[in-house]
Amino acid sequence: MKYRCGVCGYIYDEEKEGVRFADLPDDWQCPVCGEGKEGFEPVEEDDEGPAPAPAAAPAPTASVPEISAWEQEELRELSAGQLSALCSNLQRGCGVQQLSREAELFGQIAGYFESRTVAPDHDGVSTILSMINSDLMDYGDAKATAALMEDRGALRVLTWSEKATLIMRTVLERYQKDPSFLEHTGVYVCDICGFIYIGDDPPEFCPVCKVPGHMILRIQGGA
Amino acid sequence: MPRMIASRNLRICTKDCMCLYVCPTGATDTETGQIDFAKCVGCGDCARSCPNSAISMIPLDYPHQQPKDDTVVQKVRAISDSKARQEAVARQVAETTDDPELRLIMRAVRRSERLMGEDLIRETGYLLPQSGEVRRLLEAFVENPPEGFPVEAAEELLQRLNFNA
Repeated sequence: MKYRCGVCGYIYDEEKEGVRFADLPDDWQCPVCGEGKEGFEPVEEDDEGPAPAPAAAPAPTASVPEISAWEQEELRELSAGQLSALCSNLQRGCGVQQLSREAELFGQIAGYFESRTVAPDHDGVSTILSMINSDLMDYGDAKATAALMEDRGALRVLTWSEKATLIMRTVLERYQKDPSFLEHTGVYVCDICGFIYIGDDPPEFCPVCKVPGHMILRIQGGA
Repeated sequence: MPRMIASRNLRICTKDCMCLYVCPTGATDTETGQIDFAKCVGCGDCARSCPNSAISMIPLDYPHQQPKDDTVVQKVRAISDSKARQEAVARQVAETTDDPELRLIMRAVRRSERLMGEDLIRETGYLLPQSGEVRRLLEAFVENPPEGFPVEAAEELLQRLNFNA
């Protein structure tokens, strides 16, 4: 019998482990993301594939529309933080195309917008957790809309960031309960999807986006 | 002018130098380890001959951005906005706290939120630096720059990037 972690997808295989899932101690945690036992579901034998494809929507047209009035309006409404992320991503995009000067220029613009970003009133970790919980309520609807409109790119990013967000919630909840769990171990972030991992060595592959472990980078402590 | 040029991933390259052996113009024969884009004719022989697949062909003109549905864009943007706010909180906590564990975890959260935010916003039509969407964004900044905005950077980008729309 196999059990799948509802957060990161890790499979606990009773046969391989030699211990029945039910016999694991109550405080047992997922070795990848730290989720508790209660977050695991038994895996049906024919239930290891992806979810079925949604019903077909009309094929997108090949023409390129000019920027819509709606889009123009929205562009002005992007926050400084969103614009910073937009530009730092274009910086990465130029980097992989070997356009180093262009990358540097997008980096300058991203830095400008980051310097203009103001944090909302907050209470630290608790505020982040409540914002995470609010995001987690929005993913289902956003994914359904992306699937309906056959936007595979949006569906991909929503799927990944929902998983990385669930894992971040687990990590922050553990931190709130016992901050000492971060002592004498490493904190890693997947440089591609944002998956957070607490442990001595990063996993061989990112459980969210499947890049090899060398893309999962250690976060440096210190002042 | 070639429609594609070769680019080497130095993290994968093990200096087997088959690219150098097959290149008709000596474009891979450089000191920098990268392909000389001025000499590359885009034939792709190096990419096909590399035993590690360390060379990929980069298109010089990319296809247009596929149209995005407004509702999808709106929903993805709403989540990216939340990520940006969380990033700002994590950043402020990381920069002000004296608690080393809190600082460490907030640095990780800040980085993760940035990566998720980047990935979300790029899927709302900003995947490609050379797209018409990015050109219009840069033009809007130059035309009506917010206070302190580095206008020269946006102008130089408008000049340098080979936009496809």
